[in-house]
Amino acid sequence: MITIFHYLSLAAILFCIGLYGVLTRRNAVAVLMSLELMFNAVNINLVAFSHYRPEITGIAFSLFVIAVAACEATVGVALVLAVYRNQKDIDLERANKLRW
Amino acid sequence: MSDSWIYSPAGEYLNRLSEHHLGREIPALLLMVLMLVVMLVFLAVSALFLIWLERKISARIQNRMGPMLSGPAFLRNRSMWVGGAFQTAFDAIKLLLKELIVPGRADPVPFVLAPVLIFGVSVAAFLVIPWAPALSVADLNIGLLYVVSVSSLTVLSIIMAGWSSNNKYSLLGGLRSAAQMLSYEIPLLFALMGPVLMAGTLSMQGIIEAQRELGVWFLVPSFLGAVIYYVAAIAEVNRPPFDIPEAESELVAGYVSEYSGMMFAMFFLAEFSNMMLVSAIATTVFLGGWAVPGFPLPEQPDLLYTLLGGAIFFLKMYALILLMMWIRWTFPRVRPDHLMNMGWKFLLPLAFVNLMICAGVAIMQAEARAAGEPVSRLAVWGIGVGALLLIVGALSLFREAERPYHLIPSPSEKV
Amino acid sequence: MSPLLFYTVALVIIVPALAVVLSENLFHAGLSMIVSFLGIAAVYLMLSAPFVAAMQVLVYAGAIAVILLFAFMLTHDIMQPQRQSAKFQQTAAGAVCLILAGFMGRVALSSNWGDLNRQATEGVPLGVLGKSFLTDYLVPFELISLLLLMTLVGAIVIARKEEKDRTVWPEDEVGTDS
Repeated sequence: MITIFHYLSLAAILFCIGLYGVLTRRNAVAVLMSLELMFNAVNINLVAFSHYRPEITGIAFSLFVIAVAACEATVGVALVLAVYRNQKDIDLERANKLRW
Repeated sequence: MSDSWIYSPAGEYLNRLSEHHLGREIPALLLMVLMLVVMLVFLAVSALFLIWLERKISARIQNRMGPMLSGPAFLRNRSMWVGGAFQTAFDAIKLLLKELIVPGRADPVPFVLAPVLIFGVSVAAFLVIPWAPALSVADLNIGLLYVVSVSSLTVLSIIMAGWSSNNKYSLLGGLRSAAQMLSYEIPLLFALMGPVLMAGTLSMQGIIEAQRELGVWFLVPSFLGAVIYYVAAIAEVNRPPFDIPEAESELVAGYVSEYSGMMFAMFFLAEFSNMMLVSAIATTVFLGGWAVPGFPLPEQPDLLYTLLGGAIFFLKMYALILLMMWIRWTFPRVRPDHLMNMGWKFLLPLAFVNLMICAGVAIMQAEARAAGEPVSRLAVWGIGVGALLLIVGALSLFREAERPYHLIPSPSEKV
Repeated sequence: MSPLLFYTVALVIIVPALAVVLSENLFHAGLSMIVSFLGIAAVYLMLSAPFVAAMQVLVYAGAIAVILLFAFMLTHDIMQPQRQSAKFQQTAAGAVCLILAGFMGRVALSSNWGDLNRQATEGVPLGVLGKSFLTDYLVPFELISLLLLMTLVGAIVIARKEEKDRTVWPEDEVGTDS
């Protein structure tokens, strides 16, 4: 039988995979992709809780998370494009002009 | 997973038949495969017929005769509508026999998967179309939303095709097409929201039921929405006059430049089945689907009623498809920036206006339901016609200024 | 709900997610991300949330994935191969993620969830969800619409070209009457 633990562990694994991507990847767009994985892991958690309890909060909140993730991806891409236009390079290791 | 929101009328129908004749139920997996096979065969045959129809109708509009020479000898060079009956079949066989070329530097995985995805998406979206009272493969609770969300995956397939071809013309065509499809999804969604407000449900059969209950097609109160939906649907399917991505004179063949053989046939088939899909959605939502005013529904949908409903649905759907074909040869191609302009700055505000009109009708329905009497048909017709007149009047204020013809020098004057 | 279905869908989610974070070719990473999103939509269907599943496909797979693929295509430098981080960074990140995953799993396993382990409920009817957006969750709903407006305007402003870089069409210089 599939209990809530299965869904929570699936969300945890997906979150950590996304976290690895955010910490490791050098390309800004790849970091954004891994960030979306983290958002989705959170969503799985919310919807799972809403399923195993007669509540609507989880589903409603997950829809807000989807909307916010769309906004964040849009602004993130706009920023990446602006940086690319200035520096022709979106390698995060080399985005260190503001360092002392 | 509860199955209160997924109910397969066609599956139940087949189960009843098999119990009646064979004495036992069909197992669920076999049932799904059977319905999927039927859907695929139906789509392929319909697309074949539609391609032939398009060629003949284009020919008639352009005062020529279309394909006439294919087929057995007694069929050639007869009348125009008998002449080239086998042309599409022969074209299909030719495409099947061609070599599938994957360009050397192309990315093989997305290149091969793109046509599969686009046709698969089309088939998946057909699963909720209500062909007849008891004949939709799955009558989802969220039917309309399901169709729209699954159709949004065609954009991905086009991007995959454009990028993995490793060809700048394909890429440009793919990106243009993706931008066009994404821009026109929004007026399409908003135009569909009006009838959903009036129907109170997202399920396709439910929308048809609501139209039967209201007594008028949703075309009447939501005429503006129907027009917006239709225009946006033509743009979604990349049909002329919105076919910059596939225009032969512009970008070779757009995102399908590098495709050959059956993969190209898949894209072609997907375009025609998408055309059928949007027409089917328009018939369901705006034209009343399989319902005709004045026909009561029997208790148990029997075979005759199912066939009659299906025939009515097909008639309406084909009327819209013929209209699409007619529009193709009537308007010149829309320039990409004009296209974006129209989508965002013209259709979207009009879709909001339509939403307000439909909200008005929904309020009328709610009041009528509270009072326990049916909605006045005259009021709905009045709202529809009144809104149409108002909007046409308002739009006519935005006409271009008359050119001052007297300022243009005549040919005899020296400039 | 059969465990086989759950594990298959979990595989469909996890393996492409690994491809997203480990793949050299960013286009393949983007496509794997889409497969992962569709798998997550299947999870929502298993959790009796068909509306969220449709939204997932429509917004994530149909829009966010397209934005990210566009971003990749516009910033892709074919001359430079995709570089990887230092080995130390990869090892450290991997260790952190494994520890975090273990920790979260341990918390999930050993917590007393009370009576949460019972089997599925019916799922939320769509009308109830819609009404709740306009009654209980009205403030977040309106704030989200504001947020979307800000995002639209902000993204356009950030990503548009500088005034001196913009291409000047001949129409802008010579007045036309169209």
